[in-house]
Amino acid sequence: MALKRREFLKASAAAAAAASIGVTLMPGMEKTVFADSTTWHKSVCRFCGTGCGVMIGEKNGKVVSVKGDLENTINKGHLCVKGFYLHKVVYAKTRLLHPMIKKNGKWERVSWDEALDYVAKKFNEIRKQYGPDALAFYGSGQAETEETYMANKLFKGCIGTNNMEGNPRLCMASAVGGYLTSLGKDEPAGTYADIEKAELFLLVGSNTAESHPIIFERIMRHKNKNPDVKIVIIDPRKTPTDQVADLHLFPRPGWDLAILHAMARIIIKEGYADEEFIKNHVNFRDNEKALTFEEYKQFLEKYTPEYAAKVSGVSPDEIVKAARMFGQAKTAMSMWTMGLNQRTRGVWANNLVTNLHLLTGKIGVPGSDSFSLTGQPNACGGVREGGGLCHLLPAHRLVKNPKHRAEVAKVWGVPVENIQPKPGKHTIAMFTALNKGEIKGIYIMCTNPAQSLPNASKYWKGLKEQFVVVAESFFPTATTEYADVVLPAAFWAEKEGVYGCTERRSQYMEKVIDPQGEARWDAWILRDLAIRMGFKKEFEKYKTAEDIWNEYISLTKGTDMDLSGATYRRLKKVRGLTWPVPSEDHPGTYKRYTKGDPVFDALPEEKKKGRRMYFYGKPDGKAIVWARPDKGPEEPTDAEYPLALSTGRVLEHWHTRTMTGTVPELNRAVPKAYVEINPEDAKKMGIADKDQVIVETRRGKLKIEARVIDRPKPGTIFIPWHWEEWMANILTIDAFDPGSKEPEYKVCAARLRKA
Amino acid sequence: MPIAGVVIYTQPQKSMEVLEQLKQIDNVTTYGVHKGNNIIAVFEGKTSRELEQLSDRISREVPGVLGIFPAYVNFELDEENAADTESDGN
Repeated sequence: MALKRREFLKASAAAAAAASIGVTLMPGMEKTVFADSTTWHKSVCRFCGTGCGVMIGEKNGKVVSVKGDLENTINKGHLCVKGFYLHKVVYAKTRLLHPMIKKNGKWERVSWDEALDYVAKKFNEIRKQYGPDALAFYGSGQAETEETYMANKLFKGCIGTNNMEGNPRLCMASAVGGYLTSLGKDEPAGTYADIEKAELFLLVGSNTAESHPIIFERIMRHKNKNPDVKIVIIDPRKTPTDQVADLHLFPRPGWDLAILHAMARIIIKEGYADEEFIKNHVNFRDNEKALTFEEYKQFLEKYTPEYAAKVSGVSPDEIVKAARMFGQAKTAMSMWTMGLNQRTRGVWANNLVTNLHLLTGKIGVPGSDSFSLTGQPNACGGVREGGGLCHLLPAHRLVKNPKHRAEVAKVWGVPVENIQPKPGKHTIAMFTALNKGEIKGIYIMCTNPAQSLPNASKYWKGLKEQFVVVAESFFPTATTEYADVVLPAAFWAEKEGVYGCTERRSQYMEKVIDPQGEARWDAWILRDLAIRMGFKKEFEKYKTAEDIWNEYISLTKGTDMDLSGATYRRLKKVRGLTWPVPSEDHPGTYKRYTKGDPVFDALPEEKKKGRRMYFYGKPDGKAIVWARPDKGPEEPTDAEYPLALSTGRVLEHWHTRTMTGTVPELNRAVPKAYVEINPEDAKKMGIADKDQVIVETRRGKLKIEARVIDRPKPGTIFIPWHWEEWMANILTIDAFDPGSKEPEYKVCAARLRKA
Repeated sequence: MPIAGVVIYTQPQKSMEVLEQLKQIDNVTTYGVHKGNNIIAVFEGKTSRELEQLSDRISREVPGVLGIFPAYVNFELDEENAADTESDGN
């Protein structure tokens, strides 16, 4: 019997793999092979921000299999290695199954009623005694849009504080700032559909192969099919992405802005600029004033290849080569992630990448885009679009805008005065205020700040001293250690809802199984808490997830990110829709700011005259090429701390391992953290592979195993940041970008010695 | 007994060499080279760990492999799940 079943499953597996590349292995047998008792449910991968479609196989109330969704346009049936383990996370032994309250220093299992009554009472006491700004919410780019929406309404609309943040502040805020300042509206102009049309890829600060494997697969396949396609990487570290690179520039960490300016200079000087596009679509500015094109050219004169080489450590020839490759390609797609965003000049770095596209007109046409990759599955959907940051309201609205506050208050059914006009505290300010006791109660949902904040140990004081509620699917985490109450949250496959990924695509996920233990959907936990806090009228109306989604999309109507055509009815059938999607018969939008974008199409003809793009977030519809200074990192290396420390991910783990740490296989594959040291540096310091070393910064020190490898360039070291036991974030710096407030995880000064 | 159907994507011109090497590896069943440089294969193991180890080993040790992409993973007979014997590895 087992053998028969095994052969059947093998046939199913082979057929599914074949189908994913459009091959029929067993003609006429497909129906038989899949005529199993397994029921398939449409979902989205729980890990990175790519948004891969996953079909979840359920049998007798359990998740028993997963397959890549063949109909999904993003991954077309394929998954990455994390697909081997998706099910294991659902059934992890570390799932939090019951509400608990810490009493006399010990966790005690309590009923939901007791837990939520306690939280409601404490929050109301704090609010009454110290005012609404003594409370805060800290959410996640992994929460569903419906969940973040409920939190937003409770904290901004009912409690009356804008102290509402989410961990996308730590990963994507600089991309938001970059898009807003360059193009006028957040999120990319194009979609993944540009990949197969691009002649050149510029990957900056992105280990695409390990962090976004399915996007990397699409790039690889495109390049192999079209050998003339070129890939240029700008990144201080050699990674598996290099296996397909034509050119790799290795700047000193944090010193790449000069390279991007030098590339712009060469592009203009050698005639690769699109003068017509520039004339009709672009303005120039520096940090103080508007510039003419000629003044911008003057600004660039400083950025000779030799100057940029001196600043960055990259050879002038390679800078010239990269610029020419970008200029000569008919189409170009830039992609970046944390290497650009997690910097004290992350917004500027984003601007300078987009400059290259605006100067060459390589934007708004198939195969060309300035395209930020997202780290979390719903950072774009729930937090950026849903308004889950301290200065935002739903649908790209701003708390400081009275019209926006009025529109949202009306839909929320709350007095407009409830929504404060001043932004609340951004993430670092929020946890600083917690340390100072200015914030006395915080609700943390689906994230692990005690480990993920930069300079993490600095912020444990506030977590320890104030009233902390953590709604989580897993226990323990570094943050639950400081919690007063933990609330078990339903996990992926145990709830329905919507995720919005990198390419503006919103996708519906089915509920497949009941939550483990007594876990509940985060949106219902927040609803119940709100009612117990006295906001019955405002929250009792939500009976289903669809009720929440419908209210949210009503707020998007008429905005640049119109989702009013993306109803549950429709999303349940299709594999997501890329906004703007203003009506149920609208197919979604491939390119923004140009023909086919409903916002562009609705513009008066006189505005569009002579233009193939109109950047409608800017007063005159023109995007901005920025002349930003080439500032380096906040904490450059020096004689005392001569090494540049960078942190990042490995393929097998994700963020603080609350999910991947539950999978024994992944733990065994990469069981512990390590520090990568270039062989040249290791030799000088007398360090051998696997030696124990001490890595020290001005904030802390860590004993860790050395990995002598030529991935980091000499003078730099790298630590994957996933482990609580080897917490890289006790070393990182909490200086942040003054515009985006995103911290500079990617570079600080360190020293290293043998333990 | 988890089973995974995977697409192994190879460098152009290397597919046949990779296919021959895969045929020598226990618990890997191949189903030919398709559409240029895609090899269809099924990985079998007693636990998900063994699937991952197979994937890791092939990626590292078989020259010409550019990527391994699972398309279907079935865990219903995963012995690790059934016996519940393994620690979380921390």
